[in-house]
Amino acid sequence: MLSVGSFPTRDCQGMTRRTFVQAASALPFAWQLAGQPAAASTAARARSVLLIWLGGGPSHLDLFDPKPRAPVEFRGPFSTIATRSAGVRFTELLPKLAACSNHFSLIRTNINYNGGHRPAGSIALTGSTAPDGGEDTGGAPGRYPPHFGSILARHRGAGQLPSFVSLARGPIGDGVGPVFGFGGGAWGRNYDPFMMQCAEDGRVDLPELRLLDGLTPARLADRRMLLQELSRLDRLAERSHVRQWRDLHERAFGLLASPAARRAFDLSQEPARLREAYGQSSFGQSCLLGRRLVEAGVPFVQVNWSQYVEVFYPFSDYGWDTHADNFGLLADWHGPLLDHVMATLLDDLDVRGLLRTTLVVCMGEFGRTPRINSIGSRDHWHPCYFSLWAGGGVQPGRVIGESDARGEHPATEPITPAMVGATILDLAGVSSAARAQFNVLERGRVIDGLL
Amino acid sequence: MASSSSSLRAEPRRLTLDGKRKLAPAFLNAQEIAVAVHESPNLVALMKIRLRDGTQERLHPTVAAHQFDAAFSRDGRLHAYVMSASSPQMVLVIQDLRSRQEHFFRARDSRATARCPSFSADGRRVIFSLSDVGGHQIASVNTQGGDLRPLTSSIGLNTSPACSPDGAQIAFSSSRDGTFDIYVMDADGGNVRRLTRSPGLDTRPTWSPDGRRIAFTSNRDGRYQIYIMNADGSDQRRLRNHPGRDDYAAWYPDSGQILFVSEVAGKCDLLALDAG
Repeated sequence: MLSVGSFPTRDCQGMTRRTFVQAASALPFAWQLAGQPAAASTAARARSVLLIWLGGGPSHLDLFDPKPRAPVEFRGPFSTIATRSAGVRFTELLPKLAACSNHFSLIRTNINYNGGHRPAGSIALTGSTAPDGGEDTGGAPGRYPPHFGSILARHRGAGQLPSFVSLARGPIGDGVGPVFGFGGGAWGRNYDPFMMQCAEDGRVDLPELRLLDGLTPARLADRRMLLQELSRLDRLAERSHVRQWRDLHERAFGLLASPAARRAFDLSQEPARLREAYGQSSFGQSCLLGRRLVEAGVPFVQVNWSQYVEVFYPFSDYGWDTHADNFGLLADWHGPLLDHVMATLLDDLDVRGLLRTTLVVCMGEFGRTPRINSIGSRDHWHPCYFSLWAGGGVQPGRVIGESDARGEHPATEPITPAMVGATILDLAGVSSAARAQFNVLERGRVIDGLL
Repeated sequence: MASSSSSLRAEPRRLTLDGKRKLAPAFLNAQEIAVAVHESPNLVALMKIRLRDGTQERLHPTVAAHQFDAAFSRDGRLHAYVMSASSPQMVLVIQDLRSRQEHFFRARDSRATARCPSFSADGRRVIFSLSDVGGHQIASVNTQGGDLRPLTSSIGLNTSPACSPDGAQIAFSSSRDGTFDIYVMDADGGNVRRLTRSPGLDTRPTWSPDGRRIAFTSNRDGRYQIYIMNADGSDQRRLRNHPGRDDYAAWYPDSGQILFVSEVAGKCDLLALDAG
């Protein structure tokens, strides 16, 4: 089930010698840099963080924050259903999550500062705006502060496994380009996540290691063969890159040669019944892989619903950007898939006792316009949206915050991206003092009522 | 309009085993169907499945864009489907299956979407749901994709139109009265009648070949299930009581059976069941 080097991309038709070296020198392994643990760390309630990223902007009114008494031009066509949490209702698209709402808490007053996918994504994942304005104003990559996962990876230091893994077909973003805040940002590419892809049949690819084409995990387990392979590749690489390349890839090979790592990546070790329960979609299987990774001790895993925010552009993979046919798409596609996979994930974590030590956060970069647009759909809306929180020290069954009667703005205290980041990191043991030491999220504070 | 949750007694016949996500099957003829299948991480493709032996092939092997919502005229000459474009827009494609000549309908707004096409009984028009300037309405075009005619102009959303076999009526789903329910109207858009009044979602109506019954999807009992009712809305019954999700009903053209997509434990497959 584990495949190395078979990942085709639009911009990589073949591995030339030059691209071979570039790929090698660009490997962003957040786990490999032995970050110095911060002096001021606290006991982590969450051993791992599992961030379920719904890129594109899921509609809060049509999922977790319905407004059945709002005027018809706002409320949408979906009815509401009771949940396991007293007085809390979701839309009818989420019956399975409604039935297990006692496992999680919900925030209904998240806010962002930007209505564009890429900058809003960066802000939501880093807790900060970019000093140069970010993606939509000609900003440069690397100006955002680091992603929450990069901060936790640095705080925890090196381990056998990568400290920050992102599961997607490639860099997340939209048709214009990637979200700049997906990784190390101002700390550099060494703190970017280790990228993995999980197909709908559970096959796992490591696109960063595509140069190792033809190597199987069994061959990698053979140290002698590994060294032979390194020597062969050394001869191919330009001399100036050899040492850097070799250092990076010895670690990469080490990872793949590690029985623990290979076991964590291998979904075929799961019972067939459980693999089926997660569903035959890339998102479902990625959530299962995410669970295996946190079970193996990876501190931060981001499972991406899709690589692109767009739903049905020719290249896209069913993101949440439902400018057109929001209601049809949510009823046909997004609602049932999210409901089924998230309910399965939460149940699986709970049964294994992992929910106690794993913080699960599910969110996108913003919500969608409460007022239905001129073509009967919904557009971007960053002044108010939802996030779902479970495990890792979060008190379940609560609703934090209340949006106004039309779901347009928070009626109670807004939850900022910095508060989201501070809460995630605090639960994972990165205290405010440690964050100050890293010069990150200094304006963030833990969300009241969630813990 | 009496409703009942009692299930019809029957055992389903499984037509696929691959478990891939599937949407909206439609009959080309009594031997073949087309169904949208989640083929790869970035492609939903229309697959043609031969019912006799289950063999599958791409219906549009050269189309790289997402394709779904297949429909066929009763004489088997014309085919309509929806295809993604280089924007949020989804385009209606009408194809002559003999000449392979294609016509397109693109809505005015660059984000506008055509969904759920259905041929009129005489095969001369395509009725579909259109979310464009003016809201989410039912409309029709001729088989060249021209002569756009709105059929609804209500508040709420109107979708999933299905022409009756005699061509006189169109069943559709609308949220004009709150949540999605099933309605019928005359072929010219007049004389709208409401057939269902459930607290949940009733959608995707489809007529039996004799025009006497309508199958549809409803979550009135907590899960998406297939229901059947008489064409006047009476005697609403659940096709079966299933722990998973049953959706996207299509009547066999030559029998009293219903084809549908069933999802259980994350696997989607096509099942067939006698409608009783």
